[in-house]
Amino acid sequence: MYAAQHPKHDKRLVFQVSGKLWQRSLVMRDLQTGSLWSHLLGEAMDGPLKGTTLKPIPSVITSWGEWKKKNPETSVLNLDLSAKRFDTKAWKERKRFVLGIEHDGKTKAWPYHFLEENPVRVETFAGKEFLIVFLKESATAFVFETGGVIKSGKLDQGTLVSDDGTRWNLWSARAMEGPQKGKNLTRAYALPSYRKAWLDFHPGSLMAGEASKK
Amino acid sequence: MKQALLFGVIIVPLLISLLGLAGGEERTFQPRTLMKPLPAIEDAPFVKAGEVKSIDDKDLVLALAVNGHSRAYPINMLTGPRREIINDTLGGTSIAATW
Repeated sequence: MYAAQHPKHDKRLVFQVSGKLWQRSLVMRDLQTGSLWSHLLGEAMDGPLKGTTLKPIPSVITSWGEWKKKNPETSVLNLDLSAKRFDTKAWKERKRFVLGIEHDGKTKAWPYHFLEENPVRVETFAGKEFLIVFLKESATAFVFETGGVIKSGKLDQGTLVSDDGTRWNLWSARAMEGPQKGKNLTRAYALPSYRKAWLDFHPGSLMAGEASKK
Repeated sequence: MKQALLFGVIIVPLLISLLGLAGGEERTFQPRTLMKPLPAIEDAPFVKAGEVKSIDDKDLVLALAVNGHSRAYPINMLTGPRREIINDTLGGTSIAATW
C-alpha cells in the first residue's frame, strides 16, 4: 500500500501492471512518467523517476469479519472474485508467507507459522525496540516501534497487557488503561509477502526462528 | 590434463566471481516482459460493509484508515495480473492499493 504521490511534485501517480516481472515479482508502471517501479521495494528502478521511492502507507491484512467489527463504517471494494483461497487459514496452511520489515537498511522477517507459535514478541532490531503481535483468530499481524516502553506482554481478549499492567488497544496503538494510559505506540510499516519473494529482494534478511546464514 | 588445468585455474575463479556478483547486495534491474501493460484501474466500485455479498467473514482483506475514512480490499479480489493494483483516493490521500 503506497501513497501514489509523485516523489518530486505534488502530483498524483496512477499505476498500471507493466506486464514485466522482476525476480518473479510485479513491476508497476506509472502513466505520468512511464517509470518502472518494483512493487516490493516501492522504488523506481528505471525511467525518469529512477532512484526515488514511494511512501508506504500503514495498512493491515486481517479478516473481513474483524475489520468491519472494528470499523463498522468501512467501505469495501466490490469486484467479482478473482480467487477464493485467501482466508484466515491461508497463512497457516501454506507456510509460504512472511511478515517483513526494513529499518536502517536492515531487514527481518517473521514466518506466519512462527508468529502463530509466538504471538507476542518484543525484539530489538537495528537498534530499535519492536513489538510484534499476532491475533490468530483473524490472522492479523501488527508491528510497532515501542521506544522501549514495553518489555514483555501477553494477549487478553484481543488486547495486549504489557509487563506493567498497561492495557493496549492494538488497532489504535494506544494505552487504554494502566500506568501508561494515553501513551501511543508507533505503527511500523510491515509487508506481508511470499517468503521466496522477500528473500529474493532481501537476501541478507534475518528470519525469525531460523539461524542466520551469515 | 591441460584442459583440466584450464578449467581449474581460469574457469572456476571466473564462475566464482560471477556468482559473487549475482549474490551481492547491488541489484541489477533486469525485468522480463511477459505481456503488454494492462489498463490502470481507477474507478473501482466501493460499497458499504453490509452491501458486499461475495466475501465471508473469514476472508482476508487489505485494509486501512486515513483521516477517519476506512476501506477494505478483499485479497480474493486483488489476484491475477489485471487486479494487482487499485488506484484509489481515501481521506484526501491518493493511494495505490497493492500487496
